[in-house]
Amino acid sequence: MRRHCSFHLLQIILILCCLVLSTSAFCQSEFKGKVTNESGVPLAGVTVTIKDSKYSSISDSSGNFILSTTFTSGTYIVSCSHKGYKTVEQHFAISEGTNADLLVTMKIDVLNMEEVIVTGNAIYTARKTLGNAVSTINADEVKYAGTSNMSGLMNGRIMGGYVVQNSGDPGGGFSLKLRGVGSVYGSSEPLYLIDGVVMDNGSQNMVNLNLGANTRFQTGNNRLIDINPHDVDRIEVINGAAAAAIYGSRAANGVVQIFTRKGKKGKPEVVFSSSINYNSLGSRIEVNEYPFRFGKAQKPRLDSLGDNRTMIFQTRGKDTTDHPGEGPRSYSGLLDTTRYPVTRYDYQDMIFNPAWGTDQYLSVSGGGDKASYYLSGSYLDNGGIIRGTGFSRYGLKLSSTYQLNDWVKIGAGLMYANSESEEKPTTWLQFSPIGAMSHTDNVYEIDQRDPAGQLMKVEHTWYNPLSSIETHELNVETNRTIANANISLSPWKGFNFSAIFGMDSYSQQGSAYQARVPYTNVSLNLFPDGYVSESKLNYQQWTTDIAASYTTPLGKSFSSATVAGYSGQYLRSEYLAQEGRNLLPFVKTMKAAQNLFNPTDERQSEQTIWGYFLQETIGYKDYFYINLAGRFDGSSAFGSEVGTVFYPKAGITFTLSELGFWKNAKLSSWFNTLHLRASYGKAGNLTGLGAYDRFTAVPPITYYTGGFVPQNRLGNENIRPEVKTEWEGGADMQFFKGRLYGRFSLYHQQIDDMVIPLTWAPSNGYYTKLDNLGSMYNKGFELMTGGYPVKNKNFSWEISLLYNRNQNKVTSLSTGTNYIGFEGVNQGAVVGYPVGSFYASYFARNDDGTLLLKDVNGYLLPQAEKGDPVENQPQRDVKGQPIGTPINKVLGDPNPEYTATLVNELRYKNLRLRIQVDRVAGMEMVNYTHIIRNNIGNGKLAEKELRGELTRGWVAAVGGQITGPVIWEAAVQDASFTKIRELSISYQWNGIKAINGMEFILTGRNLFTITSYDGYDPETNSAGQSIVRGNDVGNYPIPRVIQFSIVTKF
Amino acid sequence: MKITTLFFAIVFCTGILSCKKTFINPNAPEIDPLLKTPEGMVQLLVGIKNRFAVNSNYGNGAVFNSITANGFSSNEINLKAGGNQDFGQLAAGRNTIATNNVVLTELWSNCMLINNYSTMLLDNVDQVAQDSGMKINILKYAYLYKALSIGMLANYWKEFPVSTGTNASFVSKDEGLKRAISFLETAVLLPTKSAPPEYSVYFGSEINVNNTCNALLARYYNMLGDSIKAVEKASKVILNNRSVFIYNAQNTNPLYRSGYTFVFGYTPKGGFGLPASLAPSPADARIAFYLVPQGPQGQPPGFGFGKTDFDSIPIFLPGEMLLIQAEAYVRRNDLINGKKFLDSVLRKKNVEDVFRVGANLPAYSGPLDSASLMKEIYKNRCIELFLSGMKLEDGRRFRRPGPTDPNSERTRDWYPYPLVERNGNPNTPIDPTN
Repeated sequence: MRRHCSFHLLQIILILCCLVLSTSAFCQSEFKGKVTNESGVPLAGVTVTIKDSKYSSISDSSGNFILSTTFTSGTYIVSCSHKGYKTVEQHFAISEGTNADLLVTMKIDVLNMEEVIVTGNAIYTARKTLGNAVSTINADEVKYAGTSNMSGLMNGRIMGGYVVQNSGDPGGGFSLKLRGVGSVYGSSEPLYLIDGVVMDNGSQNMVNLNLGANTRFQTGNNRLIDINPHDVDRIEVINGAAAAAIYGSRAANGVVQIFTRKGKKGKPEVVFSSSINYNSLGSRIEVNEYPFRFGKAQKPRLDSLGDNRTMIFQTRGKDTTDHPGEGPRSYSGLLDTTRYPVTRYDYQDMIFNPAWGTDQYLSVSGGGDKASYYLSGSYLDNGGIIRGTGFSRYGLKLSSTYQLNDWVKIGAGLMYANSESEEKPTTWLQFSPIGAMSHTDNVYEIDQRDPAGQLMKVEHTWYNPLSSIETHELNVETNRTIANANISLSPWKGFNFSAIFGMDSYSQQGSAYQARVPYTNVSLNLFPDGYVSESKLNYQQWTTDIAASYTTPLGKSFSSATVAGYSGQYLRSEYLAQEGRNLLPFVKTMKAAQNLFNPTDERQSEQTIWGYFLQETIGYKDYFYINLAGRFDGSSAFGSEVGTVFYPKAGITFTLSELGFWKNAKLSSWFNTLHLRASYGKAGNLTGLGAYDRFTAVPPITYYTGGFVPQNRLGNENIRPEVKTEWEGGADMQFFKGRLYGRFSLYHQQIDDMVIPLTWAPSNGYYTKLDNLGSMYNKGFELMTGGYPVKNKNFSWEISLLYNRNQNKVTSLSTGTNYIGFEGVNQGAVVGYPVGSFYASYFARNDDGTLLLKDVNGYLLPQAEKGDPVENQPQRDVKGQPIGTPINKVLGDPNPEYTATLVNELRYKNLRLRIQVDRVAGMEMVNYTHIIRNNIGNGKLAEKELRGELTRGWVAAVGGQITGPVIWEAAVQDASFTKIRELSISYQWNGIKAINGMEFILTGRNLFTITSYDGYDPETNSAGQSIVRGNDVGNYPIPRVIQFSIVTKF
Repeated sequence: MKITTLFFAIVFCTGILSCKKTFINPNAPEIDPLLKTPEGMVQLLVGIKNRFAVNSNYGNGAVFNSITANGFSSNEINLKAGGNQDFGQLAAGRNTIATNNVVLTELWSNCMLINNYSTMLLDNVDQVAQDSGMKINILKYAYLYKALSIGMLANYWKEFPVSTGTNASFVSKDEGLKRAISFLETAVLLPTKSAPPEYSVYFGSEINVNNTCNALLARYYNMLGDSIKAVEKASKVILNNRSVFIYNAQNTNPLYRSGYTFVFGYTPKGGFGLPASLAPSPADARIAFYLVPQGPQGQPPGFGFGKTDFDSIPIFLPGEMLLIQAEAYVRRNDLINGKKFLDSVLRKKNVEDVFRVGANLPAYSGPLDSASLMKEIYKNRCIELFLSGMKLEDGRRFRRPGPTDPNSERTRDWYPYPLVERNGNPNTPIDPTN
């Protein structure tokens, strides 16, 4: 297939030929000097540049620097910049052949206002000129974080960011939301760029093809896992539409820009990092320990269909006609009240095991006056706490830059990763390890084996939970390459032309194999006859970004920066999968399958997105800036009637503390910096819109002769991206020379034209139509504050707090609809409530809030509320009992009210202690596992009923077997938690001779969780990275990780 | 120099600016081109048939949802295990059934979709089919599917739309059946002519369209209480001619896969779920056919018309035609003929039946009065037509004890209207209480 956004090799060669021809000559001179802070302490690692030239240097550990190159006589501006300090510019005169000796003093700026931020693929701006907050993460922190996933690193380090680890799988999926949920149907994940190249962070289902109808679920790894965090220099996070307008139709959820490491001028630096980690189950769930079961004593294993499956919430089954129970009347008959003794087991010891992991990394980097290079290789292998799971990754990275002459710079980067994920069936499936464990009463000795060494059946129709571990082999292998080439031309002062071309390409192969189960009479949907699947995915995304900028002073006090650019993206994917069952023995490939029960699934997709933008920034002195920008966007996914979409942006900033009156006031002695900012902007979201969703498709089927099958969904040639409009305001403040600092933002996001599959009246002849309907908003507050209670030469103590608060509310859906449910779950978008709210049946209650019980042949049992479905109001009959149809209400919200992170960092000389505590609060989770486990009998509520502490039939009534439908309210639980997320102790040894330094780090991650939630982990989510949040169906708990690393520099 | 370089850079970039603006979906065609060719039309007919017959990624087939809903509400099946909310609601019945019940919503929507696509075929066939055999067959099948979708709705809802469109108006069940009858009458009146061989394969041979139209006419006239027409149509049906929905490895029998062998599925009730007064004779050979688990070697067993992945599901049974005639004669007070047709069902050996459904019992020996005969006819409908989606309607027509009566034999008379219909169509009538 041909690429549709192409560039030609010949053109590149032509340009390069032109570039190398231009040269010029200068004399040799030297700038040298020393950089210190206000207290005279030398500063290492300061970037010293001669302004408007290509010359730069970095200060050494004693603060000294040398710029030994060619200069003509004249006055130069030397600029010194360093993270955490205010940039200093000093004028120096130099004459040919002489050397200059400088002393530069830098002032603390903990807010990093001078930090250069990339605000558009090729546009660089100082933070202080931006009307919005931008978070920057120093990726070096990863060595203290105890995670091998970039997303894990971002946890608790982003203003307005909410990072969730959805699964405890070693390659477990993470999701990141910036300022709340951004979409009802599409994804709320931000746009990711790596070195200016748009990269995919999707989660492809490669090995759980039998997941069935819940196709919007996105479980498994998110593809950010292919990036080795050690290769990353820093991450910049742009939170909302106000800042992201210039990125266009895919940026409404914010933008995360990853910048990889580059070689620095100087001696080659070799870094070797090696770590080992131990993963274990953080907390266990409590299981039924009461050694009795309801019913009649029977065989220890229920092999044949004639045996009675006793579940606490159902009748025995077959012989109930002759020997009915004596308890409350359920839909299947009278429940048993008699009990018989059994042995109760705890299966957790057989499902989980502690696991080890290791992470090795080696890099070589360096550079000269003209060129720099960076090379690295890495290997990661991590074991999962569920038996038989693991993740490994090999990575290679190469990048280099070359200064062709004094106005042309080129660069290129290449990253390759090979990762392999060993998994077990995903959580939602009944035959996943925890799913199967939850679905089996804990009265069987599941690890007992027959003489042939095979596992044995526990109950007919059902699965031995250990079979989920022993018969399933799921593997996903990914090969990924991300490449970029860039060129920057600065032919004239103030003018720059730059272009980035890049490609993100990966191929995935998923193989699932499930052996035949060695026992009979298992339900066919559990694939007792064996199962095999193969899937392949090829994904490619091309990015082209071109920008021309012109910066010029306007008179004495004003300055202008103009940027015009073009951005084009081309996406292509091809997916192919086949499933088979009824396997021949010994063979683990598709060839074993005697029954290819589903037709081959193949999906191809191609899409282009393009946009043109223009941005103008006017500055007054260095404390007042106005920024205006706009972008026109088009895409092949937009309806043919739509054309282009316009995204405007405006920002204003004002550094009050730079004004004369402030500087002269007494106030300035302790209130050092006050920077105010405000911005407005729009950006689009295309994630809810597939490449071909605008068409009314009639897909082919293999039903006998073959044909085309009518679909529920009508196409829409007017479909366009969702639009987020955002207002943001905030301030950055610094007190007591950086001993105390704070930064906050307030925002309001209005999301309109939400892409929603409108559920029509089916009598329209179609069932759904994708349309731009509905609105919602996010409003919130984010704060980052901190300070140094103690700070002296040998000892410092820094406290910092990150606090994000967001409120989401759906304000309208389509006409006449107040609720749009997500597929397969009891949650969705409810007008007046946050997206994803649980909307389900609830307990009928008396006016005083106590449960309104129903008398079922003498047993007083809870029941679901009933009433008028149109008004959705409860109704009572003459006896005061609920009457009407079962009704639903909003029972909870999976979006947290706030997230907070408290970090304490103590340093004594070279010893460092860092403790990060995360609190996520004010959200609920729907614990399906809780309902399942009690219905089956292994839960604690079931235990209470067995012990007689709860009325017989209570579990069955909640489980929908006696008094009405399942009462889902019982499953909705508060999921607030406080976690000791990271605790690290490190020691830096300065090294001798060839060794430039060694750091020893002991880290604990997810050490301890305080929560009232009764599942494994309130952070996880069965629906993975999808829009469906707060679901617990056999979720894999997040392991407790202890890691020891040594980082050596040569 | 700089100018030249920049010039080249810009020239180079203009090459990039040419992005392709539209792509054709390679995965699936749009509906319009399909309606413009004869191949497309017959291939759509295959798809319509698929939406009736098969449970696939696109949703559960109407046949499965109809049999399941009917089975739960008329006491034919037992829920296997909890966990499936929608089945659970149907099993509990009465006002436990929520208006967003997936089985009912899907059944309703599926029938509407089939109606819509059949109508599109009917509306476009004149412009497309040059060959008269082609045209006749497209018309016959499109009318058949449209009528069948309406007939399915008539089993479960008191009122429903028969023409799809914005804010579609509802007609009564009887009115709907009359419309279905008019489509079927039109179809049977069309001359019989075969389509060109290259297309006839798409129509398939598993459904005899004229025979099925007559059978459905008999069924619907009987539902309307028109006993004269019911007998007339039923007597035209060739009883040893099968018309079925067919299945293969990739389009499996939904009763077997999603019902009997599904962990949260269902199993038939013992004694056909009939009350003691209607208990089947232990000698009834249909017990072996419908209630004894049978299945492929090494796999969980199924029942009746869902014993394997490959079992066909009949659109009508010969026994139904006989029982319609028995019922119609008794309703016309012709007890002799009524008994004659009842006996032909009772005495039918399974080898004599094209589907191997046979009672192999002695002739009816009870009192020769209308009430007793009707009771026996009802009982035999429950057994002969077990799990065919007919029992709810039969229970109403034979005035068996309803949901609020003592010893009720069904948990609903009519289903509530799906919430999605109510939300999008102001003409949706109020929900029946039972």
